[in-house]
Order: sequence, then C-alpha cells, then structure tokens
Amino acid sequence: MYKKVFFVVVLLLILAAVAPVLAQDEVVVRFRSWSPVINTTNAMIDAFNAENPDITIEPDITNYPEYLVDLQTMAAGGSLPDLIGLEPGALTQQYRDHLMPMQECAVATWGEDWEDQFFPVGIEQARLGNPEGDDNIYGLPVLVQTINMWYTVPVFEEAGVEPPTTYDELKELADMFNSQGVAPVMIGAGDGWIRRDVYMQLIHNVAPGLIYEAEDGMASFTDEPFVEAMTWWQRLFDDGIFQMGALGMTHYPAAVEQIQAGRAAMFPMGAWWMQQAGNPDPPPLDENLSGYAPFKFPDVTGMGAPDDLLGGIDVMLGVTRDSANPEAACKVITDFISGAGAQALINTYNDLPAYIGLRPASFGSENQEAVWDLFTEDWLASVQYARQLKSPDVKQALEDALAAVAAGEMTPAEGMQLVQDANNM
Amino acid sequence: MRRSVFIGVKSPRHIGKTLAFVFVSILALIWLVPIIMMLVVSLMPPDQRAPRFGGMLIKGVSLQNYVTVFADAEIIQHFVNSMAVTVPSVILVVLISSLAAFALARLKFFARDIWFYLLIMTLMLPIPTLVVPIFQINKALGLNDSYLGLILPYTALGVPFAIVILRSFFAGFLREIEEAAILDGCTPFGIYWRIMMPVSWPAVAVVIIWQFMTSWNEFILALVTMNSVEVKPLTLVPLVYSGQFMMRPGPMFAILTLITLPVIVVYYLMQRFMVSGLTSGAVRG
Amino acid sequence: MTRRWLIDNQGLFFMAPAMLLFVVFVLYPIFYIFNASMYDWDGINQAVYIGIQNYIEMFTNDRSFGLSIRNSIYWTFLTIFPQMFLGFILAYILTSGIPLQNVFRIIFFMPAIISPVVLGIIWQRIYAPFGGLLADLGRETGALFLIQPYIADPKIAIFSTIFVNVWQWTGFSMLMYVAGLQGLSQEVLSAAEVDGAGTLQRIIHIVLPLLRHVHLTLILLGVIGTLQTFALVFMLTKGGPNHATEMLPTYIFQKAFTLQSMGYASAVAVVLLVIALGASIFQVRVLGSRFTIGN
Repeated sequence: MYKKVFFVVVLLLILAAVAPVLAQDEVVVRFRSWSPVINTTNAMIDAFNAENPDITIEPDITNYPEYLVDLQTMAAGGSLPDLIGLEPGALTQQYRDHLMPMQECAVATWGEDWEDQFFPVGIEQARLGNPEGDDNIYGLPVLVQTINMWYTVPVFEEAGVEPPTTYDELKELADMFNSQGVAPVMIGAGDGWIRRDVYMQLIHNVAPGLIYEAEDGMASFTDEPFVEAMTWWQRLFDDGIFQMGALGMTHYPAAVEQIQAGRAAMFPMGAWWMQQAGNPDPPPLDENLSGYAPFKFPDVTGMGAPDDLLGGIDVMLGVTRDSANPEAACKVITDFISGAGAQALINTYNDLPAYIGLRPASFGSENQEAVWDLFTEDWLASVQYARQLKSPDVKQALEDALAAVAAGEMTPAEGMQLVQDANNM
Repeated sequence: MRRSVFIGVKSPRHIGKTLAFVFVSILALIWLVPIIMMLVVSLMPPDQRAPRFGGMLIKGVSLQNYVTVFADAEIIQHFVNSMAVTVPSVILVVLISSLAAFALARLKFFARDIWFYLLIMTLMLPIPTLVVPIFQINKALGLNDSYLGLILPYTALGVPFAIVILRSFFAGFLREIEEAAILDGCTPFGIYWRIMMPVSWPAVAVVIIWQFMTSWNEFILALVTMNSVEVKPLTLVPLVYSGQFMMRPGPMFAILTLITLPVIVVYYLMQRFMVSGLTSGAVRG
Repeated sequence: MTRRWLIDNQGLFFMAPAMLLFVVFVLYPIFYIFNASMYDWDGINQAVYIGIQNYIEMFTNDRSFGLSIRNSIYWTFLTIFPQMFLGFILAYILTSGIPLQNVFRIIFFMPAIISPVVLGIIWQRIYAPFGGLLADLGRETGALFLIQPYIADPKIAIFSTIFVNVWQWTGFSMLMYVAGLQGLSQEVLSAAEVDGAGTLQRIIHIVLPLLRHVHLTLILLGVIGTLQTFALVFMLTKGGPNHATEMLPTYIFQKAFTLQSMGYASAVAVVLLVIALGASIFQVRVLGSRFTIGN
C-alpha cells in the first residue's frame, strides 16, 4: 500500500516538473494587462499575426486588482513581461524606471508630428506625474474615454421625460422613478472608482480644475468648494437620487445587471459603456446600443455646467526594460494603436481610440453611430481635465471619505480633512 | 417504525425525531439557497438578465452558458491543472508531516523542541503576506509557471498544521507495542511505517481533507506563479475571465458551478470513508 | 560529526524534508518581510531605510489597522462559537437515525468545500439591497426587516460577512462532531439513559465533556481560519465600506499592492505574524497540546 503511494508521488513529481516546456525558436512578446478582455486581445493578436507571422504574442489578461499584484511581484523579481498595460499617473510612475521611453518607437512609426495624430488628452495624460524636466512618454495610449451620465432610452420614453439639467429636475425625476420601483440613478457605490468618478464630476461642477491644484499643494482639500461638492454627494444619497443601499452594491457586475434589465433610469458610467454592444448574446437594451444614450452630468449646483467633460486614458501600453525584443514590442504596440490590431479592437466598440480617425467597420444602429460621433467628434476633443488623481494614497483617502460620508459616519468637512491628511503625508 | 410517526404518536421519542427532522429539513433548505442560486443563474438564457430575487427567478432554461464557457475557456485543462497541484501537495504533506510528527512524538534529537515551536509558529501564516518572497524563491529555483512552484509552497505551509494533528495522535500510542517491536529488531522507520502509519488513517483523513481544500481553493499565489493557460488552476478562471463574463451573469455562474462540482464530487466519494475513518479513531481512543 | 551522534539523532532524518521546506518557503520569507518592514518601499523602486517608523505609524495613527484588529476579535468569537454550537446540534440530530441523514450531512458540509471566490460572488447577490434575494423577499412578503443595507452599512457589514463565514464552516464543525459522537461508546450513553437523565442533561454532563478533543481541534482551526481570512472578504466587500470589514490579510494586500506601500504592508504582516505566534503558543500550551481526532 505505502509502496504504491511512494510510486505515485514520484510519478506525479516527475510529471509536474516536465509539464510546461515551451518552444523558444521564434520571437516571443509577452503581454500582460487587465484590458482589453481576453477574447478581444486574442482577436487583436490574430489580426496582427495575419501581417506579422514571425512574432508570437503571449497574452495574459487578469482583473485589475490581481493584475497589480502580478505586475508588482514580477517587477520585484526582475522578470517583467515585454509589454504591460498601464494607467496614467500613479501606476505608470511606479514603473517608470522599468519602462522604456516610447518617443523613438512613435517617431519611427508615425513620423515627427506623431503627437498630432492622437487626441490631445491622451498625449498629455501619458506624461501625468512625470518629474520636472522629464518629457519622456513611458506608455502609448491605446484607448481614451470620457466620464459622463447615461440614461435608458425606453425608460425615459415611457415616462415621457428628457435628461435632467438641474438638480431640481433630477430630484423631480427621482421621486417619480422611485415610486415606480425604478432606480433613478443606479450606482454600485461599493466600488471606490465609481464613487470617485461621481465626485470628480461634482467638484468639476463647483470649481473646475481646483482639485488638481489641491493635489499639488496650491489649494487645500478642506477648502469650501471641496466640502460643498462633498455635501452634494451626501444629498444624492439622502434625497433618494441614488437607489437604496447603493453603498452595498458593486458597479460591476451588480449595478450593470440591473441597468441591462431596464431597472435603472440613469447611471454614471463612461464612454466605454459602448462596449455593451460588442458583447456576445446581448440583452435587448444592449443590442446595437439601442437602449442607452449619454448625457452630461447635470448642473446640480446651479453654478452653470462646464462645457468640457472629464476623461483620459483608458489603457496605455509600455515596453519594459526587461524586454529582450524591444523592436518587436514596438511593432506590436503601434499595431494595437493604429494598425490591424487596433481595427480589431475598435470593432468591438471597447472604448474610444486614442489615435484619431479610426472607426468601427460597421454600426448596428443609427443610435450607435450617433453616440460614436458625439464622443469622438464633439466631447473628446474638449476634454481638459483628468478623471484620475496622481497619488494612490489621496485616491484611496477620497474613496474612503466618500464611503464614510455616504454612510453617515463622517460629515463632509471631516471627510475632506481625511483627504487633506493623506495629501500632507 | 417510521409509520408510527404518521398514524399516531407512540412515544415522546418519535415526536422528538419528527421535530428534529422538520428542523433539519428547513435548515437544509436555507443552507442550499446560495448553491441553488448558483445553478439557477447558470441555466439562465444568455440574453436574459435576472434583476430580481438575486436571480432565483428565471424565464426559461438553457444550457447555452455551459457551451459558451467550454468553447471560450479550457475548463478541462484547468481542472487537470488543479488536480496536478492539489494531489501531490496532499500526498507530500501527509508523508513529510507524518515523518516529522513521528520524530517529534517519539524520538529524541538535537534541538527537538526548538524545531517544534518554529514549526507551529507558522501555523497561522496567511499566504497573501508571503506572496512576494515566495515568488522570488520560485524564480531562483526556476519553478515559476510549473506545478512544482505551487506544490512546494502549499506543502511547506500545510505541513505545520498536519504535524500538530499527527504528532498528538502518535503521542497517544501505547509504548508497549513499540517496545515489543524494538525487541523484534524493528528500526524507528519500521515502527513509523509498519506500525504507526497503518492505524493512523483517522488523523491522516483529517489532514487529507484539510489540505485538499486549502490547495484546491488557494488563488493569490497561483495567480502570480502561473503565467500560461496550460498550467493555471481552476480557481483562477473567474479572475481571468471575469472581465469578459462579469457582465454576463450566465456564463460567469456556469464557471462558478464548474469550479464547484469537482470538489463536491470528490467529497461525495470520500465522505463515507472519511466519517468512518474519523470515527474509527474515536472508537479506538 | 560522529556515527554515534547521527544514530542518537536519527530523528533529524525524519525531520529533514519538513525542515528543508520550512527553511526555504517559510523562514526565508519571514526574514524577507521583517527586513522589508524597516523600509519605505513601494515594492519596486529604491527602498529608504526608516527604522521602526512604519510600526510607530501603525500603532499611533492608523484607523484601518485598528479596525482590522477589532474585526479579527469579532471574527474569532462570532465564528468559532456559533459554528461549534450549531455544528454540534446538527451532528447530534444527524447521528440519531433520522431519515436521509447522510443527505443532510452532505448538504451542510457542501459550503465548506466551495471556493470563497465563488461564495463571495453569490452572497453579493443575496445581500444586494436593490434586486437582491433578501431585499426582494422582504418587499414581496412584507417582511420589511429583511431589507437591510447588509454590506453597505459600516456598522453591520462585518457581521453580515461573519454570517457568511458561519454558514460556510458550520458543516465542517458538524462533521467533526459526527465523527466524535459516533465514536462514543453506546454503553456510556444508554447507561445514562437508564439512570433517567434527560436528553439535555445527558448532553451537557456526559456527551460534551467526552468530546473535548473535538472542541479543541475546532478552536484551533477557527483561530487559524480567522487570521488567514482573505478571499471571502476580498470577494464580498473588498474590506469596505470605509474599511469596516477590513481583516489583517486584506489590509496587508491593499497596502502592498493597491497603495504601493510594500514596506508598510510588511510591517503589518510582522504584527500578524507575532499575533499568530502568540495564538499558536497559547493554544498548544494553555489549551493543551492534544489536538486530535479520536482518543
């Protein structure tokens, strides 16, 4: 009996040791990211390989939180893959020393005036958080986005209403939808990023641009406008603008499922919501994006809504210094941005292309095409301010403070003090 | 016997049993709700959404989600990977910890107590705290992206608990049998292998079940260690594919069901053996 | 090293595999973390030595750390004892020869073997205040108390999370007690019955004391489980809202990877290690070292 056990163990150990032996003859580019999703990535790789059969891309796509762990562990172990997905700001800065400047690759591909071929917000944000005097670009933007509001078209049509532009209109709609069992504004406020997105739009309404000054120490997060924006945030909960128990739901997937089922009148999201139409087996509202339309965040404060939207880079790609094949990696990146890979990506409506002029091969409905044009021709061109913050600690403190204020654990002033404390550190 | 429950009450004992049966039935139904929910949502037609009652009410049933999942993800491969990591780690834990537990319970040697305390110190070490250094060791040993890169750390972290369980089990053995064996010319290894181990199944069963569950369900270390699809275990599947399936509850829950079924089957096959194993130990004591 | 010494110390050969794995995969990581805890380090770039500054910060000015400690204490007491209590009752009933008792045992044990990744996703749907199972049941049946912000309200979120844990692990306690009960000799039990002792008295005075080893094993496993709690919280609440359900491992994870403070996270890990060490020694020395099944 025990002899058999020993035999089996030895056998299994040998199997385990021999199992993954991969051929290493061709040029291999290892690619890790959280976005685009694995099926889209595979489609992009197929498109790329149709033109470049000599380069093998090995993708590994995981969820964002797990991706961070993965990346950091590999960086500490000195074995980063060739190509990594990046967010502008904190994440890119953390890896700056491990990343190669991308200008040379960009000039070689698109010429000297390559920056003009991108939406300006993409180029500007690619440098977000660089130290003084460092003008390098450590990652090239692939997809860009705005953050804004959306409404569910059939729900609005049935009620015979228009998107709200003021707080009073918003409140009036909320009362009506609440009585019908429909969420007026569906938010999965259990996710920190969506809390922050809404606050960023509120503070943009109160005092455009001020939050970036506070980040740099030129203003304080305890200043009146910040507290006022926080007070509006609290009112959105207290006045029943958000659905009940919003803090206990995730935006993905919990709130999204309710939205898709038509139980939400409005919801905060971003340009990336267009990708719903690219998913397999879409529910009726998602099909060809027929059920949704974007609108600007209402002028809740009555101070006049700014014309521009917040936004920035969805995902950018960088080449690491550990890469054995930087030329091949450059080829892959630029193809994903403006070549066959990019077209495959855009065909899924994943988000807006950072490279100007790309269009999906086809649209399924007029609404879908109209939404696309609104984003790319109108809204995106006017984006000035970032959706992101520079410091991960300030970001976390803001997200914590928003949760605490929403739950009634802190007053708006106490909440903003928490953020300022994090900024002082 | 059972009929008396329905015809007429014969003794207080039957009332008690009936009540107990009702109580346990109700509780079991409540207990099953999350698992039923998982099955129901996984059977939802893919273009449907279930916005009410957490998805317990669906219109129509479809196996399409399972078709999608099998087409998009290498479920079988991931299952084999999970097995290839879990089974060796369980066997290694049993062998290594029983050897050590035997020595700690029965033999005298240099710094014995120090070793014991060092080992139990790590009894409660959570894996998330050790991810980075373990990754670096794996890298130095060339174990990343291979089954051994998980088998060895899981074994190392599982051994202390197994030693605590087995050591006290061995300590309870009668010295007389051992002394008789020594007189017969039996070596310490012989005592361990031929006398102790064959009657230690009750304790070994506990170690097996516990280690199987921890190895099967661990995912943080697996995440950083396993890069290629060929070696990723099943628990990583919801993380890898959730970006894609999160917005599609049907396929997501089909994956969750597929992760869960094998463990339930393994448990179902082992459970009779396990309870009797546990019990035989108790009888002996 | 003489031959004689080796023979006297042949226990070392038995220990060798365990020691080797221990040194490589446990001892080295502990030193690594201890060392890292003395630095201001983002996990990637140059680390700056700051002595015990991380520890000072943690103990004087870190609300989230305090909450993690508080939650670990809640967790220890509110999972271990309810699980043991309910597990014992179930085990008692399910060894009394009622119909379908094997089926029931499987049902109750099932959650214990399901991945916490899976459970977190499912329980979110049960707790969701809008469209969730409990809230909608409350609305349809008029049982309005069911409509609660289970994981949205910082005051109750930790208890909702603990409840899931109890649901998951009660079956495990039950199984251990089933084994223990089946091992008790029938003579002891029927002797007590003849004496005219009532069921409850029989349980309290005879059965429970005889199951001492099961109690101790469950306590040990419970404490291990508490200090290692990660996946369930990570999937269900991410430690929120506002750190109300933070546990030490989730906090370490967040600091290390989301907030880019590997040094600080290592310091928290060292504290966790010290607590674990204390708990282990307490268990082995005070509660008695005989954690076992049977005898």
